[in-house]
Amino acid sequence: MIMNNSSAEKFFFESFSTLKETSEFLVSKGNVAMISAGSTDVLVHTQKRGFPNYIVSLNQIQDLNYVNVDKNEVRIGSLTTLTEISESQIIIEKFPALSKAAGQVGSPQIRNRATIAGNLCNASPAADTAPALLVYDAKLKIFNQGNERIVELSEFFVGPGKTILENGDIVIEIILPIQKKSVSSFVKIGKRKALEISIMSMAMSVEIENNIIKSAKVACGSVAPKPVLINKTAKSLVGLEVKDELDLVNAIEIIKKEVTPIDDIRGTANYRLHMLGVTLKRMVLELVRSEA
Amino acid sequence: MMKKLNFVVNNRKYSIEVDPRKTLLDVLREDLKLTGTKKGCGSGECGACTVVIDGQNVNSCMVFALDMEGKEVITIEGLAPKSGEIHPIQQAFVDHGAIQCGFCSPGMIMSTSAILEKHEKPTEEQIREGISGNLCRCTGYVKIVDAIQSLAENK
Repeated sequence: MIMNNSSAEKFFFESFSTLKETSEFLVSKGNVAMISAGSTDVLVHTQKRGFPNYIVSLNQIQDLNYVNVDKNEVRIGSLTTLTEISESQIIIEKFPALSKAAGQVGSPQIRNRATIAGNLCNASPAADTAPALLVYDAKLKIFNQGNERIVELSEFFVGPGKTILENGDIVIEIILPIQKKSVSSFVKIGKRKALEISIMSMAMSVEIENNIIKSAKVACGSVAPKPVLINKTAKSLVGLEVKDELDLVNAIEIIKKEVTPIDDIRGTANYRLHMLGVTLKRMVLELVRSEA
Repeated sequence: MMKKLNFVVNNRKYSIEVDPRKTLLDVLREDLKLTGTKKGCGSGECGACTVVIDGQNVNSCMVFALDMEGKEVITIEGLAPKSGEIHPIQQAFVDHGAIQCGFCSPGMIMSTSAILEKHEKPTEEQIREGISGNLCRCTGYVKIVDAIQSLAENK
């Protein structure tokens, strides 16, 4: 993205009523155009780095704001706000980690504007909804000039602020397969409750029968250049019979080796590693007890 | 290039030419001279610029003015039922000493209006959650929560 601190004469704010026009316009302008939806990240970017030549707002496009459920999956429109997601009965019931994560982004004012796809496309390593969506095997439907394709969220992030999205791509839907037997949770570690960028976040989805973990997915934010699935740790949980925290000593050792967080302004690598172990332990015990 | 914006602020229709880089906050304060809405951090963290858009509290510094096409915005100036009067929320803040320097008050009061819109009788937790995006550096929040609770009780 090229930022040039455009003057009013060189800066254009465009919005179209259809996806096709929007996508074609984005292709015609290349890397001097930026998509905006809730604008809670875009406006922070423009303050830090200046304006691109074009902001292309999606807000005139109808029908991208919904939570629909059918037999096997829940489909969320890309412009659904984080408030709507955190308060959706379907999401609270079927995808509690996502509802918790969406409800902890920024503040009520931010969540009333910020969209689910914006939280993903901004590609912050600390994006709160990303770990939750990763453990639910989320897929994204992407539109480009009339064509649609579906990608796995686990393949969507490339690095800080970078995704696989190409010119003209617009994320239009998040698809979540319904997992009937799993229980799940999300925890965000920060210094305060509101308006906090996570120091570490973790989501987990597990299937438990008679205290034995049958399957597990774990994902974390703010511990790598992008939100990541923690597969070795998850694998080490499978088959474990969990009665108390002593049963998790090995998994805690594995998670501390599997990720290599860094020191930054929000916390040290050591603190992050420590909290990864603590959070893993608390979350597994919470979920096992909820199924007992 | 200036662009046309049609929207409604405090029940009054506006059709104005705006600089497309401007936020809703800038247009309210600079173009419409509605300076009751305050500019604090300008980056969505302090809540001083909170207004209500279509019934929801929003940071007006985090919204492109041109995204307001066709929308209805209520600012602190539009809250009172009649000119020259104050709204019951404002009265409750006065009665409970919930104002010291006053800079956060317009935003705090707009968030309160959204809380009371959402919950008929909000609990203390719902109140604290509802104002969690509004920073106050004077009061320590206790008197603000008291003021909002008094409104919930009188409903």
